[in-house]
Amino acid sequence: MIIYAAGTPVPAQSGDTVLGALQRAEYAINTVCGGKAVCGTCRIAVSKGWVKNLHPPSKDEARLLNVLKGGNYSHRLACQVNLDWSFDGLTFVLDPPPNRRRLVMSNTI
Amino acid sequence: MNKDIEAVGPDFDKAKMLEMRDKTRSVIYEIAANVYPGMLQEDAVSMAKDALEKNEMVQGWHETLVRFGPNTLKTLGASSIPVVTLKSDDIFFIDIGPVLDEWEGDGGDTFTVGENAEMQRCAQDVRRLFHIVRREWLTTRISGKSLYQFATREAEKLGWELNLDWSGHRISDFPHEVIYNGTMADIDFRPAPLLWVLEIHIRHPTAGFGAFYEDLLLDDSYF
Repeated sequence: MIIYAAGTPVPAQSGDTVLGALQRAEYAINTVCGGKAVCGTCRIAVSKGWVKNLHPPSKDEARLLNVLKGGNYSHRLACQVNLDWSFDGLTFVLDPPPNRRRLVMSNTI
Repeated sequence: MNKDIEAVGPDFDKAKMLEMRDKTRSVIYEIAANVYPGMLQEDAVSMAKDALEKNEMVQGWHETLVRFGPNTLKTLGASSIPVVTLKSDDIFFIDIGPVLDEWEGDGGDTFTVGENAEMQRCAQDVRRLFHIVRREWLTTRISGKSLYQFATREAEKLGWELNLDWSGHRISDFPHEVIYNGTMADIDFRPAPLLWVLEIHIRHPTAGFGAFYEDLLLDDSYF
């Protein structure tokens, strides 16, 4: 199957998570916690027509999505969206929360 | 090289990092107070997540760990043996890495229930070893690499094996991984205060348990 990250086609297999498919395709996506639904850096915004087709978020995913800044109903964690063949054509964009920071090479201590 | 590895982000704030440290340690003790013999480890992890939520620290930079009995031997990233119940004489540790606003916390500690003297000694020694190693850092110009070599020798003197899979890391404004994702044991310079977490994981050489403790590298005035 093919899923679309910001319009870029990404090959995926049934059983993949969205994060796993993106990583295998070497698509640039942040993950700090390693796919444990903890850090929120892999947040995606799923296209409107697809939101209702996804399985409901787990307690951990829902709890985190609820506290991440700038959240809305279309958000999911790429590490928690499990794909099967019915998701062929899934479209989304990466939408990490704003506390991904810029790197400043200075030591303030 | 140390300038790059010890860089911080735009939101780094010493007072906020220390405040986050205090909150992290406070939640660890709150979680520990709600662990009891007969409890399933999975239920303890769930309770720990609830405690973090209550304290507005749902977001984290690593998963929340509560490990009981034989799972205290498990190394960094290893899955726990499922369905482990805390016995009446037992040992457990907690390891949390919350993020609040822009700042990372990280803390771990070990606790015992009941009367097992060896387990109690293990829980005491992991804190003791943490401070032995921290004072070596404080009083010398020792590098991160040499510090963990020192820690290994000191652990052996106390009768424990040191697990070097847990060998210290950076901490900063979130996420520190973009600066340096390696271990303290890999650096050949003296780690600076407030920028590093000293991790100590010891294991009994034959019995099936261990202990874990971690906190920021800071001078005595913070302890």
